[in-house]
Amino acid sequence: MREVIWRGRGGQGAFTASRLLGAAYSSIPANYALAFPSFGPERRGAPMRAFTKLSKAKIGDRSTPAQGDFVVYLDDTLFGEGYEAELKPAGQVLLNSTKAVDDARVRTIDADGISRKVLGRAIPNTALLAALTQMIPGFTRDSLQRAIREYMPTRLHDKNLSVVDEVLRLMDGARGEAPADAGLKGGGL
Amino acid sequence: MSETRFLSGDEAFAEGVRLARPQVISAYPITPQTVVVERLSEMVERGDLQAEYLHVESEHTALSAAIGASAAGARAFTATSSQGLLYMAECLTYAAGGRFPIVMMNANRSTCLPWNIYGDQRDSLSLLDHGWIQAYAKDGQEALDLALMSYAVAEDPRVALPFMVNLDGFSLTHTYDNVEVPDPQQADAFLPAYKTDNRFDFEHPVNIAYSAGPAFNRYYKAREHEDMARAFDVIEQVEERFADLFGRRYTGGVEARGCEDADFIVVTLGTIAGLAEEVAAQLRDEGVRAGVLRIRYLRPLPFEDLAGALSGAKAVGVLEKDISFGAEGTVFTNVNSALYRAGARVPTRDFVGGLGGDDISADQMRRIFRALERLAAGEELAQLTFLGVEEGEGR
Amino acid sequence: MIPTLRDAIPSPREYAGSTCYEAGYLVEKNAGWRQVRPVVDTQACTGCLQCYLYCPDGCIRKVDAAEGAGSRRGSVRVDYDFCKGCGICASVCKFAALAILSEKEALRREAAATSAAGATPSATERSPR
Repeated sequence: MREVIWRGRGGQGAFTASRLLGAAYSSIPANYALAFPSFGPERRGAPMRAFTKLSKAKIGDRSTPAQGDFVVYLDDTLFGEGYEAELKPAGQVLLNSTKAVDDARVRTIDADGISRKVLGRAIPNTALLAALTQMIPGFTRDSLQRAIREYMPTRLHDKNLSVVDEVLRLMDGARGEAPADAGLKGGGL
Repeated sequence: MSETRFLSGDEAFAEGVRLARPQVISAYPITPQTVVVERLSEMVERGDLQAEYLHVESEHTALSAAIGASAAGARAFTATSSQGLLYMAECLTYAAGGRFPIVMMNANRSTCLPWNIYGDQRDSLSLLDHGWIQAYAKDGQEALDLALMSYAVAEDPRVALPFMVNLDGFSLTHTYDNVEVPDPQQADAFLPAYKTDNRFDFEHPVNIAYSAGPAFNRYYKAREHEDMARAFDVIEQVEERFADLFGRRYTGGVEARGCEDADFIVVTLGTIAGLAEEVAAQLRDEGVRAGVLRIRYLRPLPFEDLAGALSGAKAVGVLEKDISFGAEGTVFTNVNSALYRAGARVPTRDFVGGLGGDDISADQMRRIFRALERLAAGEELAQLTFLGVEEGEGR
Repeated sequence: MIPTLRDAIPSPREYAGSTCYEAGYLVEKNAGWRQVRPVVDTQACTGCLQCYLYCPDGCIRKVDAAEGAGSRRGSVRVDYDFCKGCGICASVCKFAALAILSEKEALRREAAATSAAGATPSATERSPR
């Protein structure tokens, strides 16, 4: 089973991303997924977590993962010293940031910049979701598109699908030297 | 055509209720049930569900209104959790004694003080005695299916009792999973409209909800008890019909996994059974004969199914998310009674965990099975263990 | 006596005998919840204490005039361990004595000040995680 921990602040859409990831993965036959937010009172801006579990078998364990195969940061103010405690030994971090991080386990992407370009506002969740699906085997482009169409409000479909396209375009194109303003950096592709 | 959707337990249950076509919905919101009543109110607003939606000012009124609706011959639905369930507690016994087949979804949540909104099973397990059928769902699919089956069982004239469907707070209500949502034609074929004589009728006026003193009271209570105990016959038939129509077969009072030849069995309720099964499967790979018995219906109590599944084991552990202070866990009391009646001499122990929404880890589950092994080998083991409380007892 | 978070927190086995306990133990710091923080302009502050009254988390306290305030009635200080950045204090202040600063900017300024001073950051100035 693969476990994804999403770290964001209330209102950034971490839970939506965790849910879409689960929906997309489990829409493929013989795949199973669970998605849930950190439970309890919430507030816009307060740190929170969301979780997605992905498996080829029905998932019985619903407990909160302490460590992830992937940890996705929607907000780089939440990333810092001690981040490895939440990462499994072979785990990887996907970080929404323009800062360079000298760590093979950490990949950065300017999800704020990409979403600002396409949506007009920095809403990084869909961009990070698209980048993450490229890091986990078992995702098809159209499973992600289907999940967006089925589980996001209609008025958000086109823009979010454009964000996905933009991220996948950047990742397809970025081999070796990544473009300065976007694309996935760190740890190679 | 049914469709598969990635839904939370609350959302899945709301879909099931929509398909069950209640005529009156009266509910007061309380975490973690709120999503159910929000979705239902949206469905009524959109016209996807033809029902009277009553905005009531408390849980006590919610169930009182449902009783009134049922007494008028309507299919009624309500939902609550924890302190809300306790607030409507005096109405529980009215509904059951009045033989009103109301269905209520209860989101299992801890009870205060100290204040806590997270999932455990203290709310419903502290209210087993009031005449409501109580079922416990393991996942979103079972929750949706119980929304339909509950009415079929409750409204059967041989039963005529209200039915509480329990969903673990957060680990089921707020966790997303794939569920198959049947189409309305299938649901209608399974569950026809509610018909009863137990209602106000201007054509044939009746007395309703009257009193019964010392000379007669016992006859009502004995009937209530016997009808509840016989409900398993109806449950079996309902599950048979459900399997025919929807292709999913449920197994009555208990769901047994690997119990036939098991030495060590964990008995539990709800979503945690999923983790117990994963750990038991790993132990089997290591040569340990581990089994899991999930209780689906705690009222009526499936005496024979419990004894049948557990008597052959060397040690049995009951894992439950409640405690009856000063005594022991309520599920433990019930399981011991079933074993004692059957003359089974298998040693049993109580494990109380998950209180106040505490996660139970795979490690802790494994340690429970290991403790049962040591018990069977002759070692002492406390009658009751609180998980994660003893010094050095970490996760 | 200003309640502050104690150094040593007793084991739950010791205090869980009732749900009544003195303040300063059973709380969590809210610093991580902030995206903005209120900053007091002690010269503009008149010591009227409206912000102290309205703060929902009780993290504003009165300080004496001796601490360099503009008014002889004294001023206020914010406890940044517990301030969650709701901004209610700034919105009730009639003297524009509370400015709302972005948390990122505030942390940047603190880091610049401490590295300039060569000192290590205190507990309240460390980055919230």
